[in-house]
Amino acid sequence: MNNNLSLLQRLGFWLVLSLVFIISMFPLFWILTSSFKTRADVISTTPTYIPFVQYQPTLDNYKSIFISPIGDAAQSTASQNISVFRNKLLNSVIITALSTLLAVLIGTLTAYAISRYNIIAKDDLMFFILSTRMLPPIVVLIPIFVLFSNLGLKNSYLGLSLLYISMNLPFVVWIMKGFFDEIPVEYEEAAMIDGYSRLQAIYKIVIPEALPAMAATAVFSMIISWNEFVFANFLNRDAASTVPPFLNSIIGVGAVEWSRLAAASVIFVLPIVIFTFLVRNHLLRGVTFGAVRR
Amino acid sequence: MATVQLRNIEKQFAPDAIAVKDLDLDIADGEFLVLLGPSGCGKTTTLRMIAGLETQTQGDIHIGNRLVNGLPAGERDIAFVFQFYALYPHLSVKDNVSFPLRAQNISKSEVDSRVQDVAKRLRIEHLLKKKPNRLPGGEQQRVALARAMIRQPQVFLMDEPLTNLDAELRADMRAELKHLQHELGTTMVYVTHDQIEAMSMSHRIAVMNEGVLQQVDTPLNIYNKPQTLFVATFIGSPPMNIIECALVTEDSNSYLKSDNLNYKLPNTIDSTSQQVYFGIRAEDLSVASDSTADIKGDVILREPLGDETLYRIDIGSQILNIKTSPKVRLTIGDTIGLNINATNIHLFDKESERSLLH
Amino acid sequence: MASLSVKELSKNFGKLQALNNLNLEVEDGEFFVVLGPTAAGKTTTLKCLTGLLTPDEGEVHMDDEAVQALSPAERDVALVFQTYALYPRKTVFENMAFPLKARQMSPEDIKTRVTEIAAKLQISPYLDRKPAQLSGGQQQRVALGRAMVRDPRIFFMDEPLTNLDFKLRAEMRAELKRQQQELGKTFFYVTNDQVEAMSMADRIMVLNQGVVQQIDVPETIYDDPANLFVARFVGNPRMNTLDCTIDTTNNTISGEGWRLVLPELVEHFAINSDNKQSYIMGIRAEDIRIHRQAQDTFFAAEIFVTEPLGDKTIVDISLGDVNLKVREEAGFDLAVGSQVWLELDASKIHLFDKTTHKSIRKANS
Repeated sequence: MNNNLSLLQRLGFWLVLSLVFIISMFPLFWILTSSFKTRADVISTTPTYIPFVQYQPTLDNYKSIFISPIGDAAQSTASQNISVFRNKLLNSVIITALSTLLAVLIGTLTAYAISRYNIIAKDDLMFFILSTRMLPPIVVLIPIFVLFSNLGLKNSYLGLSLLYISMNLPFVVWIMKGFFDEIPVEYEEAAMIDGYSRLQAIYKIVIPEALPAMAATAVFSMIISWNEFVFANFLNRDAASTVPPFLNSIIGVGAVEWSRLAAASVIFVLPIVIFTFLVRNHLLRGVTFGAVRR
Repeated sequence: MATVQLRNIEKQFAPDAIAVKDLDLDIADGEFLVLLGPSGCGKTTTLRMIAGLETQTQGDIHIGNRLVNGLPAGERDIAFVFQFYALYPHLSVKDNVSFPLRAQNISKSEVDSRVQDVAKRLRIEHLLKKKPNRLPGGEQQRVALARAMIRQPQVFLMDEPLTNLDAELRADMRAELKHLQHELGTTMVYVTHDQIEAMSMSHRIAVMNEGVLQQVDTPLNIYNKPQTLFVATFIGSPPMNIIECALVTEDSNSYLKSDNLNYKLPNTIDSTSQQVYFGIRAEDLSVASDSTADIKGDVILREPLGDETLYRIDIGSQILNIKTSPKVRLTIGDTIGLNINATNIHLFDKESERSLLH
Repeated sequence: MASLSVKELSKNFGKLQALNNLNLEVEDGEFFVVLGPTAAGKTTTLKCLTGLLTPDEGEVHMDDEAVQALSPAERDVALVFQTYALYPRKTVFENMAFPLKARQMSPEDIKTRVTEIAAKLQISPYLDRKPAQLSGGQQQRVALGRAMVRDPRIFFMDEPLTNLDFKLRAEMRAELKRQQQELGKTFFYVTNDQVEAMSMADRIMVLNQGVVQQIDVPETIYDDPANLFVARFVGNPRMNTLDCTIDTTNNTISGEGWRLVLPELVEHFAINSDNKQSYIMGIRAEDIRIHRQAQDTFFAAEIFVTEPLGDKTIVDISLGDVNLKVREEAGFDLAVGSQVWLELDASKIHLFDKTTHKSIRKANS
C-alpha cells in the first residue's frame, strides 16, 4: 500500500503524525526540562526550552528531594519528614510489586481453570468477574473505608495490596483466559500422556507459552496499582502511604516548588518506563497473540 | 507391545449426545488398525478413551491384559500423536523428543543415546538443535513421531497425523509410516477420515458412522465386500454407483429392475427384500457395444486424470461414474452401452441398508 | 463471452517477484486453469486480471479491449472466492440479488433472474435461508449463482472447491464443468489441486514462483511435461525421478542399480554426442511392471511397502537409496523386504537436463 502513495501524500502523512507526536509529548517534555531547572528558571515568565543555551540545567532538584522535605512538610516538622519522598517511593514499590505479583499469579491460575475445566455457568462467572470493574471506585469507597477500619487494614501494606489485587484480577483473568483458549489443549494432553501430572504440564509447557501474556497483564496491573490515587489517599494517610497522594498534597499550600515537584514526578514515572522497556518484546507478542497460532 | 480390547464401550457427552454406542473391538498385538469414518462418527472419541483423555460412560478397556478403566493417561504406557503435532514451541527438537523420558528417572547418557537412535531412524538428526515451529510440516511430523517412539510404548495412538501435510508429502509419509510400524512391530491405532490412508496403511479397518461400528475387516474385504451401504459408498473414489431398483424373481432367476435397468443376476438371490440398492463401482462398468449392453446412457462429462479417465454417463434417472484407461476416448453427447462386471456387484436391502450378498 | 489476452505481465511486492513476464491467451468459452503450489503467483495473477491489484508492467486485454485502466467493477467480470464471501446477514436471495441492485435493475427483473439461476443450480428451496444455514456445497452453489446472475464476460475462480470435503469436491468438479459447458462462458480457474486441473481444464497453465512452466491441454501436460517441475507436480502418485548417466556409444541409460538399453535414444532425445552425460530420468508409476522372476532387461529391487487402494495397488519399491512408486493391479501383495525385478517401459521414459531441468524429449517421439 505504502509504495502507491505520492510524495505529497507521504508528506501530509508525516506532517499529521509529527503534529500528534508533538502535542502528546509536550507535557512530558515540559516536566522533564522543569526538573532540571532552578526555581528561578521554572517560574520565569519567558519560557525556556533549550538546555545550556537558554538555561543552565542542574541536578539539585533530584538530590534535594531525597534529602530534604518538599512542600508544606518543609515548613512544619522538618526533622521527622526529612526523607519523606524516599519513604513514599518505597511504599509505592512494595505495594505495587506485591499486588501485581499476586494478581498475575492468582489471575493466571483462575483463567487456566476457567479455560480448561467444565465449570458450571462459565459465561455467567466470567461476566460476574468483569462486573466488579463496572462500578466507579468512588461508589465503593465508603463501604471499603468502614470495612478496612474494622479489620484494621488501614494504613498497612496488606490492605492496599489486597484492594489493588481485587481491582486487577478481573482484567488479568479476562486477558489470560482468552490467551489460554488459544493455546491448544493438546499440549497438556501430550505431556500428560508422556507421564507428567497436570500441574507439571502447566509449569513446564503452558507457563512458558503464556509468559508474553503474563508480562503484558503485569505491565497493565502495575500501571493501575502504581498510579492509583483515590483509595491510596483515603485509606493510607499515615503509615504506608504512596506517592500519588503525596504529589498531590504538595500542590496548593503556599508557594509550589515546581522544579522539585517535576523531579519527583520524573522519578515516579521512571519504574514503569523501565519495566515496560524490559518486557517490551513479550508485550508485543502478548498483545498480538492469537490468530497466528496453529 | 500389547493387544487392545474394547468391551461394550459407550460414551455419552450429554443426555442426548451419544458419541459412541456399544462398541466391541479387539486389536491384535502388533496390528495396524485404522478407525475410519466421517467427522463426528466417534472415531476420535474412541481413540481418546483408549488413551485415557476421555472416560467412557460404560464398558471396559484392556491394554495388554491390564484393565485400564480409570487409569490416568500417563500410566497407560501409550504414545499419542496429535493432528497438529503438539510440539512445544519453546523447547528445541531435542528437548521435545526427550521430554517424555524426563518424566522418568533415566540417566542422561541413556536419554542421549535413545534420542540419537530415534533421530537417526526418522532422519531428523540435523534438526535436533532447532525450534520446532520453524520447521516445515513434514519435519514437524517426524519430530512428533520421534517423541512418540522414544518411550517404546505398548501402543501408538494417532489422531489424523497426516491431515495437515500437502498431498505429495502425505503420500510419502503414508508409505514411511506403514514401513516404520512394520519394523517396530508395535500395535498401532490410527484415526483418519481419509479412506486412502485407511486402505493403504492398515492391516484392518474399523469403519464407524454416527457412533456405531459398521464393519471391521481387511482393506480389500472392506472394498470388495462392504457389509452396509454406508461402507460401500464411503470407501472408493469416485464413490460407488448406487441404483435403486426392484429385486424380482422370475423362472427361478433373479432380476434387478428399474426404469433404465433390467439385469439378470448371475446367481439367484433368496431374499425377502423387494426394494434394493444395487451398487457397482466405477471400474466395474465397461464400455460395450450397444447390442450387448446392460445399461445405455449418454456421455456428459470427461475427466482425464492422466493414468485413468473418468466419464459421467447420464442413464436418464441418474448419472453414473465410470473409470477407464486413458486410451478409451468417448465423445461427449454420444450414447454408449455399459457392461456390468457380474462378479463385483453389490446389493443392499433398502430398509436395513445391509448387504444381501456378503 | 470474451477472450482474454495477457502480455508481459509482471508484479513485485517489494523485493519479492510475484509474477515475472507472464504471457497467455485464453480463448472465448475456454475453461482455463492456472495450476501451481502455494505462493506460485496464482492468486496474484487473478487479482491483476480482475483489477484488484495493479500490475507493475504488462497489458491485459478482454475482447481486444485494453482493461488495465478499468476498475474491477468496470471490467464486467465475476470472481468466486475460496471462502465464498457470502454476506452473512443477507438471505440467499439477497446475496444473489446484490450485484443486480448495484446495476439498478428493477425488482421484478431481479426476481426473475435470481429465480432462473437458482433453479439452474438447484438452490431454489434455500432462497430464504441465511448462508450459515447451508452446507458447504450449497454455499458454493450460491457463490456461483451470485456470479452467474450478472452474466459477466469472464468468470474468475480462486480455489473455489478447497473448503469442501473430498466427496463433495469430486461432485462439484463435475458440476462446475457442466455449468461451464452449458453457459459457454470463459472460465479462468485457479487451483493448487492437480486433479481439479486435469479433470476440468480445456487447457492448463502450470505456474511456479511467478514463472510460467507450461501451457497445454491436460493430456500433454501429463504425457509430455516440459520440465521436471511439471512432471513431478502433475500426476498421482507423482512421477518417479532418478539420477542417470547416458552413454550414446551403446545407447544405454543407467543409474545406481539399474540400466536400460534404448536403441532410439538419440532419435527420441536431444542429446549431445558426448559419450557420457548426467541427466534426470523420469518414469510414471504405471509405466513400471513388477516381476517375481529375473530377466536380462529387468533389475533387482526390494518391496518397501504395499498400499492397496481397492481399485489398484501402489507399491513402494526401494532401489538403492531411492524409493519408487509403482502402480499395480488391485490385489497385488508381497511382504515387506521381498526381492522383486522391475521392468521399465522404455518408450515412456522422460529425460530432464540436470541444470535447467528442461525436458529433452523431442516432439512427436
